[in-house]
Amino acid sequence: MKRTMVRPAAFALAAVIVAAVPPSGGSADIRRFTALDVKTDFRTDAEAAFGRPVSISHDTDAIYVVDAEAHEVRAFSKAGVFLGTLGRKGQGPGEFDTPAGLDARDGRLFVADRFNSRVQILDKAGKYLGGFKVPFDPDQIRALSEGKIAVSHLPLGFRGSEPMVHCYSEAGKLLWEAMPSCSSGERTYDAFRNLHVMLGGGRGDLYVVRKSDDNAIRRFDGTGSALAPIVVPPEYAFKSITLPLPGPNRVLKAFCWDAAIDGDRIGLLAPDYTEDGDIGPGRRVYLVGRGGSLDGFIEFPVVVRKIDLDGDAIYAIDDNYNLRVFRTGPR
Amino acid sequence: MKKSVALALAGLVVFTVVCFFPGAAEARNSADCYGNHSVCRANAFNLDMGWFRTSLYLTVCDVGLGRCLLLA
Repeated sequence: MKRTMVRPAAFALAAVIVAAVPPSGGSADIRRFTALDVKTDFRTDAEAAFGRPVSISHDTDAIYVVDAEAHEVRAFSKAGVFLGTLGRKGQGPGEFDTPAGLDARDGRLFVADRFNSRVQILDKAGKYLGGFKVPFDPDQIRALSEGKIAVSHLPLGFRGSEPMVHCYSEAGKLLWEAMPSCSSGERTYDAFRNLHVMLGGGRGDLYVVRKSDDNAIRRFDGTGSALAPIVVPPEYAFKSITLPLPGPNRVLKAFCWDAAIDGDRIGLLAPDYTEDGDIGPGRRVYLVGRGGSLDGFIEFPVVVRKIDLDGDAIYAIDDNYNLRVFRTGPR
Repeated sequence: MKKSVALALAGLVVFTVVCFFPGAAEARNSADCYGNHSVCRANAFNLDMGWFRTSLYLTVCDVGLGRCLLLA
């Protein structure tokens, strides 16, 4: 009789203890926000329809979007007014061939001019201020402090492992290189594992986020020295997919579709499964502190492909390749 | 169902080759082939599709490169 009473009591006590202990990492503290759509005239302006928007950046009073298909940069006011187009297809100063990355900083635009294999620096009106050639097809670009420019590329995989991040002076002098590429011998698999996003920390430092297989955000100071990485807590879940490649199972753990930084918070656009089981962009942006804390997530009303954080405003390219502006609100 | 998926994928592959990999006849030497291959891969990623589909595109780029090198 006594034994039968003790067992249920023990189970009840255990249940209470389990319920009282939060999941590891304190996921109960993760705050939820909702992205509220700000009405602009972006979608009604024919000039604002993008072919292949590949990069988005902002400065104090404008938003810039790179359209790789149109070989140009389009500028918008933060109130939603189309301001104009910068550049056109070509090889001359201020012209582009499939531009990729863009960084707006201190009144200047830094453009990774992919198939002209060069970096261009323009003023906000599109006037050519300077630039230099690079020995690869540049993908992403970040202007750091003291005239340093970080440029990255996606290796084709023919030369084994090679650095993906290269830092130059504005005169085009190579200062340092970092981030060796993955090189397993399966080039398509490696191409995904080498996808990354570069973020300027605002203090001359550089952050590099791999899009898969790595939940550590790599950090470098202005001299290229590796700093302690930011390890994103396990509550931020990977999404796995097996690629249709020959050989052993080529499983990718998708980490982020895009990323952005603003002040002390890093936004990671979480990938999600599509209806047919593929991995695609999602509706959530997780907010990670520079110390590695998972501070919350912002839920969007639509799928977003590219993001840029600006205080409580979020500029995003949605699933239909339109530019949208959101404000962060409580859930 | 499987048949239609296979047909759709085959169509996608052909479409990709036609659209994104310049004809081998345009390639005068192997350097052109590698240049075209680089453009093909950039196009695949710029489309910002799901990763499964993108991997198919990248495979097509590699097939196109092999074909171009053989004919150049």
